[in-house]
Amino acid sequence: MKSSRVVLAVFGVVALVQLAVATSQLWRSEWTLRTGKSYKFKTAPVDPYDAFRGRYVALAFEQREAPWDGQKTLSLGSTAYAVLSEDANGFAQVLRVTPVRPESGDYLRVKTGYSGTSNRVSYSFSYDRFYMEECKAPKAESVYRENSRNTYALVRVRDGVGVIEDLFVGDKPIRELAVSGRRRGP
Amino acid sequence: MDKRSLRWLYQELPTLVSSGIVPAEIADRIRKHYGEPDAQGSGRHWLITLFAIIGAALIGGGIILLLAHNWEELSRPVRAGISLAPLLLTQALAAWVLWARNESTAWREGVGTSLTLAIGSSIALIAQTYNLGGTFPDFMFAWTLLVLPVAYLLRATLPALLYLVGVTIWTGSVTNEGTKSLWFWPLVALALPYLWMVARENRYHPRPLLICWVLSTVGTIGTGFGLHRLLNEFSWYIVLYSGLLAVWWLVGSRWFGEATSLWQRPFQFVGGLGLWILSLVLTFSDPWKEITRHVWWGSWQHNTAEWAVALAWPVAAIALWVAAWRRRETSELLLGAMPVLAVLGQALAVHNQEVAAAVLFNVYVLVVAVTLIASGVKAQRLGIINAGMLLLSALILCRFFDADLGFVARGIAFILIGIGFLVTNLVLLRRKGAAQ
Repeated sequence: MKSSRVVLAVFGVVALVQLAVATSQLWRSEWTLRTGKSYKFKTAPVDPYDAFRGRYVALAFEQREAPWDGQKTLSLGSTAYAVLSEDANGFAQVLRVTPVRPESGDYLRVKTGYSGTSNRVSYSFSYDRFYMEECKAPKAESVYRENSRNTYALVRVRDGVGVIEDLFVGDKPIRELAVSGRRRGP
Repeated sequence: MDKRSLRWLYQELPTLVSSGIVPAEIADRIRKHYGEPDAQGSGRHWLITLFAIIGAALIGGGIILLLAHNWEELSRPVRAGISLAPLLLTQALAAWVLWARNESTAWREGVGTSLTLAIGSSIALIAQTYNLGGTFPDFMFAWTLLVLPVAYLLRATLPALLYLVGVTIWTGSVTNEGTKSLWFWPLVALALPYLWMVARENRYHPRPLLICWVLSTVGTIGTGFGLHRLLNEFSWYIVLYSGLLAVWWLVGSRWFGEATSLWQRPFQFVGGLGLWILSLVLTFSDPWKEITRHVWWGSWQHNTAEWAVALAWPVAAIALWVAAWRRRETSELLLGAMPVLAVLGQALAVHNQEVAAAVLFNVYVLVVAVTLIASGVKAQRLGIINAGMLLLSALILCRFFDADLGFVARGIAFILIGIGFLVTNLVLLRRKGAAQ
């Protein structure tokens, strides 16, 4: 009986670790969505043959590179920080990418890609998809592709974490368009 | 002793005692030695466990699919809460099983399966609720590491199997990230105490056997992923894989030497078959030519850990071979010696003697095949003779495809080999029949 108590206690610890891993993402995302600042990120057309489509809309962003603000040489896939601001039209723009965490202002943790010419670097955000109900997702994807010049993702940003709140086509959330588009269909 | 023989023995014992051939006391001692024949009960027991695993997997999968629908009518926090529900529920169930049903294999395996699925689904569903991108390797890594303790605590096989497969998939997906894939071996090593735990009592039990089958298979695949840089640049696969497969073969022969069926020989099967295929490939001169081309291209400045792992397998194989030689296990020695020949071949190829290396392996395969046939004939075992004939035929066919020979010559070769098979089998079966 004593040994089964020990096993149960160890299992309790393991269960807590499992829960902690699952809830840490939940907590961080929920906190960001509730308290983060909203940024509108202009999206770009995506490759229509993305293998993983189906239940979500695959996203690509218009701005893909920014000036590199670091001394050391850059290795592919390393963590860096994209410093954010807003342009004249109210859309988000990445001012520069830096290897050290900025002390003030809004920024996003990104993975660096290939460094281009004139000390610029490409980067990727931690988010690249927008999940929808399975019956709506294919319709939403085609609405999104047809209007890809006029789409943006509303992202909440706090402490380097970015969480997509919604995806807009023009001034309407894509969920509404996917539904109305479906109704118009045969 | 296998179950069928034990059942037969227990059936015979009362007759043997009543006819005075075996004294009752000796019969009791035999019964005591072998224990109660639980053959029938054990079979049913495993069937129940299997159904528990399948049932749990189906229910778990169904719940995941329902949740994956992404119910937009529900608010985000509610959806997030629901994503955690399967995990919390199965954790509670697992705690209850540990407390109240700890002796039931069916319960432990069933709940272990559900918990394994619940961990993966909860992480994935939260990522879906919050549109988190995340990479597949990261997800796989987190899932497999969280699953491993479940295997140990619930003494459940499926989480251990998923862990081994998951680690291999993870290794395969990080091959473009430098030496990260070298973590394959430490990660696999984390599951080995579990194998020891379940194999301690009876290594021929279905549970350790299942793990051994998966371990030998994923070990063979994962080694390629783990050392992909060396394999690409140096054609090092010849020495590495002959070492690895010889280790499987020798380990299998050492620890599963009393196996009564193919199912009980996971390491021998994967190792032996792999060594056959590799040695047949090496009877061609092209793989050896590749080496000469590669050696000048590759840079020798590799991680020392990469070389250490790449050399560990052939060295381990040679050490095991020496041990088998000391025990005079002659049947294992010939196939187990392949790493030595691979090193010799590699040395020849580096000095532009690729034809010599190919000839060396032609002679080797021929010797292995002939020895197999001879030992099969000696022991009057048709299975071994056929295995030897199969290898010999494969070698002959390889040479026929290699040489610039016409269809007629190849056709005649096929017919002759076919006749050889039929005649040998016929003669041996007749002899056996006559002997009986």
